[in-house]
Amino acid sequence: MLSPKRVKHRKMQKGRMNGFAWRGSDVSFGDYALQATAPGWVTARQIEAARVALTRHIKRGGKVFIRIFPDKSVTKKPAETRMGTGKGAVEGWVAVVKAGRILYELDGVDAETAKAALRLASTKLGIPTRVIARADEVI
Amino acid sequence: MDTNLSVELRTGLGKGAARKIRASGQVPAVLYADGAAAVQLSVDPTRLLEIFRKSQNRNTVLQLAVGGETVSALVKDAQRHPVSRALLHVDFYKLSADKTVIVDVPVKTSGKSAGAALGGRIEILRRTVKARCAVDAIPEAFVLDVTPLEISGVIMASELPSSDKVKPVVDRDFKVVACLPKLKG
Repeated sequence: MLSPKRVKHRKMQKGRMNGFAWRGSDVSFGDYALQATAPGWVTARQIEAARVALTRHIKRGGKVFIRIFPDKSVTKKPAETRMGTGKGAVEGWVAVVKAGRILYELDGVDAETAKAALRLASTKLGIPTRVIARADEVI
Repeated sequence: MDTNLSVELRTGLGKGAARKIRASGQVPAVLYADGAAAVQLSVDPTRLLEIFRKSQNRNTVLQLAVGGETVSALVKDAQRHPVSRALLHVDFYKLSADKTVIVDVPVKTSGKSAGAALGGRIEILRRTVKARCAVDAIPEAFVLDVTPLEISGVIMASELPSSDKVKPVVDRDFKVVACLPKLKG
């Protein structure tokens, strides 16, 4: 699973996900892409599950580009713990995704395979997505 | 193909005026050229997108009807909304018949390479290559014949077709198309 090698501060505040992903919202590397249509957190586990679904479906050949990275720590208090006594322990890592963000890109595969693979990958994520193609937009 | 596009001059600047234009169904745009002041315009996005949907060519030369005169222009940049993908703003670059222009020309391949027949695969390493072109000779694409390309063979930018009217801009040579070897395992 993806996670940062080292961080300056282990625990983070929740933050907000207002607005759109004005950067990272264009198909830049491949021919087909999976784009988030609503904001949300994508966990490292989900990113890995979607990557595995993609690579297994396209078998060999083709390239997968992961355009998000889980660099935000998420903490959780143990069950049945009284409130207080500080913030919980780091439980995992998430990528903060705003609406419009490109999550994955595929290159070197035919349209049908790419779309089917990206649809499979989208089922592993907790946010609504859609499949887009570079050829859809000339300008 | 009909590439005429009528545009209107606009006076309002800034995001307030731009939002009003978008609300009226138009898109704010700007027309600029070397050594000339920029002209603020508004354009019908439906007609503009239709032209590009038909041409499928990013470097289509448009004939803009601006205030009674016709101007040849390229779309230099277009901004889109991240989710709705609606056009938000367009930059037009005015062309002069006596000057050249640098454009991004798409790279395409033709034929089946010798390497691909042995299990290799053709990979386009650069989707576009910058080229300095005469205004009347902007190519739709560099179509490269990959038939003689063997496994591990490459086509370099310096090997791209060049003429008086179309010259690839190559400061340092780079790979454009490669025939990669078969994956192991």
